[in-house]
Amino acid sequence: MKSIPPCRPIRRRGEGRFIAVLSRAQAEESTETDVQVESKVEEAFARVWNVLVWNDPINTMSYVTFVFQKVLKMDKATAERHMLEVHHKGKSIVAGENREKAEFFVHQLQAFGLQATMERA
Amino acid sequence: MKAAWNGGEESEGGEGALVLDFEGAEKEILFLSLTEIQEHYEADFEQLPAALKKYWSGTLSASADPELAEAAEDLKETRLAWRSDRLKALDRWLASDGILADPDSHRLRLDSDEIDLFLAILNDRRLTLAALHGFDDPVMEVNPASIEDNDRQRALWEVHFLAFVMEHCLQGLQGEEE
Repeated sequence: MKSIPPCRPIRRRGEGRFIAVLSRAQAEESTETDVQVESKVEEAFARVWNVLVWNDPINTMSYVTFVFQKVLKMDKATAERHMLEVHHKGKSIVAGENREKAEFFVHQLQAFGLQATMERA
Repeated sequence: MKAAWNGGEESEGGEGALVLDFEGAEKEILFLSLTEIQEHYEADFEQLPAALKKYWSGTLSASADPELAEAAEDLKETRLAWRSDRLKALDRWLASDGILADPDSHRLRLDSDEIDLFLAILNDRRLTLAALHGFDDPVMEVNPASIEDNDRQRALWEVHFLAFVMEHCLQGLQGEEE
């Protein structure tokens, strides 16, 4: 079965930057700055972000289990354990990922109507 | 209502389909619900009530992390794009030759690539009704007949009816897993 298609690709920071003609000194300085920026971007994306799902009164327990299996590829027992944690404790951390993947999961979970958010681990 | 998974070999296209058989007025009620959410998807975002604007804007992070400001905007754009994607699917299903339009048929057949979208749309209707009427845990536990306000009572019935349809779909999908 195909998964829900509506999520657009997530834009990476630094994409689509302007390229200009520079002097050698400017180019060297610019390269250093670029390297620093790239490294900061990589560092930011390498950090772990938690994906949380919050309890809500509308989504049914079986639907939440179904969505966890579908989006997060959990087996049924794991999906049910997280669903019960959401139900009883108000929230569950369902994934710990780099930023891009965490954003992707939040989008996918929200596409099914779940209250999903992300925060730094 | 009954729902059953029709396996790949027997189905058109070979990827399987979920077949829903409705009883009584179930299909008509579903048709009306989908017509309502179709109109909702068509509505201008700026004209929506505040509760629905908030719903469609979504929340990326509970902590309002400034590092996520741009990503939160991306999420909002994505959520708004779902409205148009889902509207296209509904326009197709509710068209005169669509799968939901035949008044004499009590059967609805969803191909495997339509099921997730169908569930998401039904759930959108439930969630937007709940957001609009402020349904919380206590309200979800009461008998809808005990609610005096007609609009709220009808909305709560509809939220429960659509949950009933979704539960049948999920039970039918268990046949796919087996």
